[in-house]
Parts: sequence; C-alpha cells; structure tokens
Amino acid sequence: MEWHMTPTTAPSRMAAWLEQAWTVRYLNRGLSGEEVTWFESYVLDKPELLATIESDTRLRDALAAEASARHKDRSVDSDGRQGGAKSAPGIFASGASADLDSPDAQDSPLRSGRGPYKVRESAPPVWLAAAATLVVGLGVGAFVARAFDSGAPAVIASPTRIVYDTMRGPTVPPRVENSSSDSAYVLIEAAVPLGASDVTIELAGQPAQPVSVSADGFATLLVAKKSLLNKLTLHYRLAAAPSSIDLPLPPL
Amino acid sequence: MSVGHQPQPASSDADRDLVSRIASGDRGAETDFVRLFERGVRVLVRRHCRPHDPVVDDLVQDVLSGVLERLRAGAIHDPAALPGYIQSAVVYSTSAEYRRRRPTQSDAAIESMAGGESPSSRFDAAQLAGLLRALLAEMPVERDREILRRFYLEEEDKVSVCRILNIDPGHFHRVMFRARERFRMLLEQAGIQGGTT
Repeated sequence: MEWHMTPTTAPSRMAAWLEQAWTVRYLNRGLSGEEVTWFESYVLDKPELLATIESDTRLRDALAAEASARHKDRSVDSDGRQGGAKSAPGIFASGASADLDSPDAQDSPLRSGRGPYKVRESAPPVWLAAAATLVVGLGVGAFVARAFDSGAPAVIASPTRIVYDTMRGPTVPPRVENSSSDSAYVLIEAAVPLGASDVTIELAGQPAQPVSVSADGFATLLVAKKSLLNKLTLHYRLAAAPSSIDLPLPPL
Repeated sequence: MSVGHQPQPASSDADRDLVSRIASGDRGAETDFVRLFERGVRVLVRRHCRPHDPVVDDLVQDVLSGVLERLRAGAIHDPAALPGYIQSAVVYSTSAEYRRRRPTQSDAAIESMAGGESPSSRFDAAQLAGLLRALLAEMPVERDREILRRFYLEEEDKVSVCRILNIDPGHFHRVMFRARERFRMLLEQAGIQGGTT
C-alpha cells in the first residue's frame, strides 16, 4: 500500500502517534526529499525525537566501525602484518569513493535522509557466518500455554493473528493473518508508541487489564473469538498524558 | 511524491521571541538559541556526515555561528522560518564540506582521515563497535542481522531488502525498531547518552 506523508502547517506539535509515524518513515528512508527537509526542521527542538534519530545514527556508525575493525583484523599488509590494510572498507573505502563520484553526492550528502557514505563488503561478515542459535523467544508460546486451562487444545497451529500497526496511523486497517483458522482464540498484536507507559487493554464490558510491551514495541493479547464483536481499546500514558487507541476489530 | 503544499516547520512563541531578542542585541537570547538548537544541529550534522567524520564539531560551530550572524543582522524576519533556515544551513554546510574535499583530496587522503581521529574518537568508535557486537549477539535470527547489514551498510532500500529476504514489508519496521531499541538500551547501559560522542 502506498503511504503518503503530508507535512502539517499547524504551529503546535503533532500527535504522538503521528510523530512516531514520521520518525519511523524518516529512519527507514521512506520520506521524499521535501518531507525530509520538513521533518528535520520539525525535530530540531524536540529532544525525544532527536534521541531516537541519534540512536539510529549511532547504530549506523557502530555498524561502520564494526565492519571497518573486522576488515582490519583480517587484512594483512605487504609485510604480512595483520591489520595492515590501507583501504579499510568501513567508511572511507571504495564504496565511499564510488559514492562520492555520483552527481548526487557531489551536490548533497543527503539522499532522502541518509548520509553520503556507503560501505561495501565483498566478503560476508563474520557475524553472518555464525549459526543462528535459538528461535526468538517472543514469549507467545508461554503466554498461550497459560491462557488455556481446560477444554482447549494444547497447541493451536496458525491461529488467526491480527496486527495493529498503529504507528502508521489509526486509519490503517489491521493486518489479518490466517483468518480461516477455526481456533476459538485470536492472537492480537498492537504497536505501542515509543515511550508509552501504564499500558492497558480494555475489551468493552470487561475491566481494563495491564499488558506488557515487547522489546519491539508491541502489546500482545489473546482474545476469544466470540468476544471480537466488542470494542477493544488500548490505553497508555505518554509524557504523563493519558491517551488511547481504538482497535477496530475486523469481521472474521 | 507530492505533499500538496509547501511545508512549514512548526514554530512557537519562543522562536518568535528569540528572533526579535537576538536582532535587538540581547546576548542572553543568543545563549538561549544555542541551548535550544545545539543538540538538534549536532544530531542532523552527524546524520548528514559520514560515520565518525571528525569534521562534525566544526560544522556544528559553523552552522550555529552562521545562523546567529543572520539573526543578529535581522536577516530572518519570519520566526516560523527559523527551524527551516537552520536545517538548510546544516544541509548546505555538509554538502559544501564534501564538495570541497572532492577535487582536492584523493581517496587515500580521505581514508587516512580515519587515522587522524583523536584517541578519544577511536575509543568511542571501538566502544560502539563493541556494543554493536553485543547487540548482534542478542539477535539470534540471522535474518535480522542481514536486514541491518543490508539497510545500514549496503544502504539498500526497504523494498529491496524485503524482496531479497522474502520479508513481508509489514514486518520490516518491527525488525528495525527492535534493533534500534536494543541498541539504545545497550548505549544507556554503557552510560552513553546524548550526542556527545
């Protein structure tokens, strides 16, 4: 789905979810040049947004440093000394110089929010050669096991899964996977804005329940399919202010 | 992609006040200006520069002093335009820096710049690389590591990464978000805050 960002002319701050959406698009290099210009102007005096961008830049810098250090460790100069390579491919090597030759790079180091550097590795990184160790423990398995007491099967393969990517805006419909599953339960995941606290989920007619947010910023819950007719709302606090997102449940 | 209208950065009464105070010679307002925008300028300059480029500090100074001069001269009339002006100054300064280097410096000279970094810069870089290794070690799924490598090092775009790794584009930002969050936490645990590296 094509997604367009429209800069606001409002003098006040954008809503938290909208700031989040802009930030994600900026970091993922999904903004046009004009949008980048506007967004960078917008964030200039907003420390929390700057911190997110800064963290991403550090990640970029660290990856470059790591690649460079790895290359130096493996390289041998003409005298057989380790780390003697004069042309480390990290930041300033062939990839970077090739990039500098492009007209784009001559005029501006910025291409849709990214810098002029370009790091290229011909050999696969060492860390890629390391075998994957364990399957990511998302905690879903344990969560499911606790949720069932009796009468339900021990394992439900491919249950219906609904993902609310609320960081892309409240109007973006949820993504539904395995909608044909005959499981009595539906796994729901909802993105929570960065920095949100006191996150609770409320199913109409039921008391709100606290939910923990995963490392990737999602709240996960298991809902009986028969309850999906009721309204589901995610509540949280952001910068001490209460906020909520309605999660429209699609018909299954 | 059309955005429909000319973007206007968000402005505030503080910006309005700042512009007029600096134009009238208020030195305290200049201090406020630096306090308000220095971090933002630094973050953007770093973003527009190559990793670990030691010129960042100089460019930050250039941008701040350049904008201050214009403010003192009363050349910026619309306070709402101040953030946009600063952002343009960042882009101009970094572009000019890399344009200036190109005809006068060979690749070897550019490469040798890395060796010219201060010991503290090299230490920071090594520390960041160590943190990165810790981050990568915490990412047990090889595909996640591959995404990071392709996105940050190869500068492949999202569409390309998703196509090559057979990833649902809807999952892309989750992986990136997770990586950034873990990295941020590692930085915090290591006592590295802000943009002072």
